[in-house]
Amino acid sequence: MSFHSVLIHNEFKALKGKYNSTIVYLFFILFITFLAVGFAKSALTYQQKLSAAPFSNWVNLNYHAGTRDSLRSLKEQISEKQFRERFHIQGAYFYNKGMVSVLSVLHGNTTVQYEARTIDPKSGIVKDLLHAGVCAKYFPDSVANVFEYEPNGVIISRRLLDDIGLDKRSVSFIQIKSPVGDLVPVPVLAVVNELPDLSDIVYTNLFYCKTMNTGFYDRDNSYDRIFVENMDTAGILNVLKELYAVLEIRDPSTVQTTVLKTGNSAVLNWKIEIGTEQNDLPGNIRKEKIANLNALKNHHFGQYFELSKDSSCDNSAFFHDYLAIEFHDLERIREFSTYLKEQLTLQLNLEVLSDRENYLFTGNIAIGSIMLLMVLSVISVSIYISGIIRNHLLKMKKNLGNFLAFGVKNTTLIRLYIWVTVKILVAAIVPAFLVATATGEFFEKYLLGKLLVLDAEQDYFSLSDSWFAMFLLLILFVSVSRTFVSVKKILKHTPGDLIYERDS
Amino acid sequence: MNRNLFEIEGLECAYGHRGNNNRKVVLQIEKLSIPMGKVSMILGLSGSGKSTLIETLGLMNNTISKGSITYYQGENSVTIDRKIWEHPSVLTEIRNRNFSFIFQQDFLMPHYSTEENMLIGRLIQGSDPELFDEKDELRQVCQKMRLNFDEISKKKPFELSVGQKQRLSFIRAILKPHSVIFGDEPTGNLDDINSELLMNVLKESVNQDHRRSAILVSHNIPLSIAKADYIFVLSPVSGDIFEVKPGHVFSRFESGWINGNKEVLTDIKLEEKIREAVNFNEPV
Repeated sequence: MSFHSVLIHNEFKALKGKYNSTIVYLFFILFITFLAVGFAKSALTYQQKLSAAPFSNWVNLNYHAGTRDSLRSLKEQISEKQFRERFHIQGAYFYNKGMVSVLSVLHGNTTVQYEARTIDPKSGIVKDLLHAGVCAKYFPDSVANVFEYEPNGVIISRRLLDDIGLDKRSVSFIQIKSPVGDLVPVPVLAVVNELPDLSDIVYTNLFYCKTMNTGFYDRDNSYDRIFVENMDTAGILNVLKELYAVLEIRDPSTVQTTVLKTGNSAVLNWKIEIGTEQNDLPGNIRKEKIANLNALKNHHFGQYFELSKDSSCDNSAFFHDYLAIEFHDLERIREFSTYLKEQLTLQLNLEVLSDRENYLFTGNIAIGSIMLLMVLSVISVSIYISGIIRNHLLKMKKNLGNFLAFGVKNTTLIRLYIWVTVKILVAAIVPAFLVATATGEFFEKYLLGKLLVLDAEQDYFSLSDSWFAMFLLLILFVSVSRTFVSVKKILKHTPGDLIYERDS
Repeated sequence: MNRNLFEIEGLECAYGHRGNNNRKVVLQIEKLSIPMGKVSMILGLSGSGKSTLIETLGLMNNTISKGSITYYQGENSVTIDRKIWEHPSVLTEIRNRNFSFIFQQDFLMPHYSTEENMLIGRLIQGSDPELFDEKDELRQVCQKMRLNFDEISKKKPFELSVGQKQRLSFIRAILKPHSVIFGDEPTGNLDDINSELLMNVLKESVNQDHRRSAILVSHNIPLSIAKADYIFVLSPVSGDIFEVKPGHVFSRFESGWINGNKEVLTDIKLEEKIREAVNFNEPV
């Protein structure tokens, strides 16, 4: 037993109030604040994530007969450095949009249409795409330009991957339906969270051009070619063994097996070529037998076609759909819009800019609201606790005078009452934090998900960031400071003045 | 070794802000010695500066506008004047090591147990109750004060009577190791029996250890005559200013009293003299 322990123990008991009323009151203030801060901060983080999306500095202009000449003129102007600097433009690229049919395992091996768009491999958007929000990439880190590495490759959205039932750990191809109905495997270069223009597939202008012309893949009938994803050597030997049996292959040298470089380097992907000239079975029977091979069950496989290696394409037969302009920042975009209207009679869709401005506005409102909430909470907690302590000490003034007369130092009493303040705060903060965390997680998991479409990778409630830590420190600091001032103000009187209640 | 506890020289006590011309002088004492190892009582009318003198001697308030007080601790002495108040740590140290207090109000901590309240003076001084047989000592002193320790030890002050609380505050003062115990009307809330009991225990404590002294303010002239070794009477000088005149210091002498003029007095004569000294035939 010591004076310190007796005082802290008893004063804590006295100050926590009847039925712990002081702690319960503080608990509710803090619980509500923690809950609000947890949701608001996460919403703000999400807002910032949206506003920092890689495509927010892009605007598109519609390409059609009426705008073709103006857009070509504009593209030429943008090629001049001075013009680009004037409007903070980084570059301009023509692109096309279209629908692509993709084979979906989850849709009973039927094709589903997805929106696709082209991009210029040299544009900054490729870097932007692969800089943030990449779920998986299937090319070496040393590759500077992914479309030079694989000009026939595509970048797909995670939504598409999930929708067609493939796994990002092993996917190497998606099978797109050609105009003549073949399911052509196209190498996947990367899976990303989001693609521009809400597309699910992105490929180069060249690839798009080639798909618009006949012969972008080899339909040679002298071979049955199949690809098999994610299979070890033992597995492929089983496939071959079964193939020989079901296709009645007498000469194994007519079957060639090659490891494909495409796709995830952590797994093995195979190409099997089966010569058909010496095989008596009809083509459709062979295909059916291959499709039903037991050794291929639970593996992504399909017919394999070699894609055209052409590095140029005649695009004179079709229009572009859009001219995409990439900006360094959007500071001059309104001026640019006026210029387009006056000089080129082009109408710039400023929806993107409005979105960006809205993000910034709502972001600032969110920051302001959080700050206000935190300040109000800090003020209310500190005023409440220091008020409780001040009132308690005013009632105990004579007793404090008696303590001082007995030889207790002012600094000792100040220190002990600060301890009591911290003890009360901790007694309220710890349960408030735990209950707020549990409530927030419960809301996020069971209620929010039923009301809204949630981004699975986004945390909608979080109290584990530096903001929250600073907030707690601020509550402690301000409350302790106020207690310090209140106690010091009372103890500045002499013991005699406190005992005899003089105001000198 | 000096046999005096305090020696007062040209003391003037006043209230009000320092540097303010309106500081109100309430007490003047030209020269006065308060002996060590004795029970000294200070008597006077209400507002005569009795509490001021206790506060000044007990370092509870900085009222000294002139003069000084020398406080003797055996061979050592400390000068108490205005300057000492510039050193709060010295004041705290002197209070902590030497002084104990009992007031008319009990000032027990309402949320502490009776036992904690009794021991708080000792705890403030830094004593560790685990090192001595606390319970036995508490039981003994409670018994002397006609309190049942086992019955009251876990109770809170609000569960006790006014008289019990006052006796507890006395126990708190007496348990704290001290050289001087200051009391401001310590028997004010007690009946005659308990007042006498308190004074007896106090006297016993002082008599057991001659390094201990008691300086008490009281309105109770018969009790003071019965229990005090010295009586100092505060008399009006002019207006609201009071002083202790040399003839108004009374000390116990064998079976009677002598005053400052070396007159031998009976208890009855002393009471008359005290009443005469306070200048009013009103009850003091």
